Amino acid sequence: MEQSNKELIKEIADLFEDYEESYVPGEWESFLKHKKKKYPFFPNWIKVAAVLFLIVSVFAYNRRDLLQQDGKGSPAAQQQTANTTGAAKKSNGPAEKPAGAAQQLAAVRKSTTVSSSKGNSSIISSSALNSSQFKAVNTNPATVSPPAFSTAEKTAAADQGSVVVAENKINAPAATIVPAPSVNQALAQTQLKADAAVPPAQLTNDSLMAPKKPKLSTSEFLLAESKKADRKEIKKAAVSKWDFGLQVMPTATHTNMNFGGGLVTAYHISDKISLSSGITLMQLGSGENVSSAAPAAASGVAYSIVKSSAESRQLLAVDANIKAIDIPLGLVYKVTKHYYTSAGISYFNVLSEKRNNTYSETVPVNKMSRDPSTGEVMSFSALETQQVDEEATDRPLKGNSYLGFFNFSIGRRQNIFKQYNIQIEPFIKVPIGKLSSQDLNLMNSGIKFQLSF
Amino acid sequence: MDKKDTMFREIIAGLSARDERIQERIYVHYWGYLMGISTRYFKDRNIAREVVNDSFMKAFKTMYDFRHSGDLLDFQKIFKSWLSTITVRTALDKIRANKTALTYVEEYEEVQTGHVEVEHKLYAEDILKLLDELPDLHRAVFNLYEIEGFSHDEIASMLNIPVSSSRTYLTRAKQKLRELYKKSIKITDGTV
Repeated sequence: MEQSNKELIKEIADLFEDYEESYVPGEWESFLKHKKKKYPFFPNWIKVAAVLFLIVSVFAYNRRDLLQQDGKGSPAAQQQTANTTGAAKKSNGPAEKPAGAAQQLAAVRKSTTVSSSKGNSSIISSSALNSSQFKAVNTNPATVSPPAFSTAEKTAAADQGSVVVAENKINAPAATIVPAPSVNQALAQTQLKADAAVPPAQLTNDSLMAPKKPKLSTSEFLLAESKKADRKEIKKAAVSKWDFGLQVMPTATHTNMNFGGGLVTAYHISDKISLSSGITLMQLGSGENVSSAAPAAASGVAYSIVKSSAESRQLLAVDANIKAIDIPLGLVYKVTKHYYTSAGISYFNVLSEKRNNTYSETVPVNKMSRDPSTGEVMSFSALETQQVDEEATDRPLKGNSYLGFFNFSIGRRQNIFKQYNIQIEPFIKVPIGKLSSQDLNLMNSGIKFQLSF
Repeated sequence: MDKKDTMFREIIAGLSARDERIQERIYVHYWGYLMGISTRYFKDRNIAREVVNDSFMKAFKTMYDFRHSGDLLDFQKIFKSWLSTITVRTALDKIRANKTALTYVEEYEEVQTGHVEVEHKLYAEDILKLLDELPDLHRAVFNLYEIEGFSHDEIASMLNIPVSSSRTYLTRAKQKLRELYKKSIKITDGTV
């Protein structure tokens, strides 16, 4: 009453300035739970992300290998031309020293790739010198260097006349590059020296190209074309090698209905076979009767039987509910355009686990009964069996990771839009390893509904 | 007083040693105070508790870098007002997240009640009930201006509303509170 005459709003402000409630016991404990709940999956997500990253990186690495194999033709050819240009530069020596043609030929024998250019340069030099040397030099490379002049070699083995043809072919471009071939030695040498400063590469290139051109027109050409076609196919396939999708999967164990959902991805190894993986968050409930522990008298009153305290509690059934992350890895075989079958294994990480145990409990009770003959009320003690449900404190699966299931499925794939497909896939998951040895039967089956793109 | 001093010394030592065990002490000591703030903003006690817990989480993340002069009284004041600021801001975040609270403002008839004198002792529980009668946004503006001491400019930027709206909401909130208070007094006096 004393503090009246104050304006209401001011009074309210004063009242709340230092207002505090009294602490409610248990708040700290619930705060700790709240704190943990904020990021419950964090450590597991790291594990899962690591596994996915590993899978993706393996795929990516393999894919790169494939592309490299595909592109091998052109880089190798480039390397070869590089070698030949290198050899062309080397060929300056013999060009300048035509007398050492025999020595150079010995060097030619050592290397098959270099031989062609060296041979040609020696041809040029020898053609400038004299015809006898020219022949000696030219016939030899034709027989010595098989890879570059394989056709020429074959024809050389057939008859001598064809060798001459080959020689002429080889010499033709060289003659065009070297303007005045045979006036005299000195002139030819000086001219070769002058040419050797810049055009040897040109010379060798041209002289190389000349014998190769006819080869390309036949089998080489076809081979190159077929390779090109392969490359195109691989490129086309590379665009659609990956499939991604979302899936939901109602499943059933032998006692419970469950539900799961997640992301899936598939990598097409070939037209028929693909490798699939993904991540699924699933809830799995299962119950199991522990038959061996079933009591002899499950109901009713057992008179005058005194059991020991150890016998008075027996486990009847286990009912568990698990939330887990399932990472499958499987091989999918495309049977027809629409139907496929899949088999694989799953990595299984249990996030949370709830267990209820049902016990059969035998409790001593006092009973009253009236003797029908005398009408006397009698009291006697008896043992009564009850069923008790208790939440189990132990979580044998929680936080553990297992190589959990064998997965088998068959499915139908139906295209709905341009790149979207619906897949309906009945499956069965059979627990393996540690999961199979649990006192729960986690075998489950269901249907996956998947939207892939 | 000595007991309190010892506790604050322990808190200061715990903060400088980055000892996580000090969190429980701080939580238990300040929970009531923060709950007092939070319940002024939310009718639902569970939401108020959630806001308090979120505030503690924010505080526990950064409190180890809390700067203070080392003076015990000074620390008590600053630390308390720091926690209070965190709670108010967390509450506002929650209100902002609930967009309908910001967009929907119940209109009520304005009855001019200029000055109402308090005739009886006020009890926080009763006033909280009166505050619960106000629309969320009006209540928030009232709390921020009258109790927390923010200016209309600050309130406007905090709630993403025009300054003029902040003024209007405050006036309406006050009017409504006066009306409600008068009504409640009449009921307790038995005049109605």
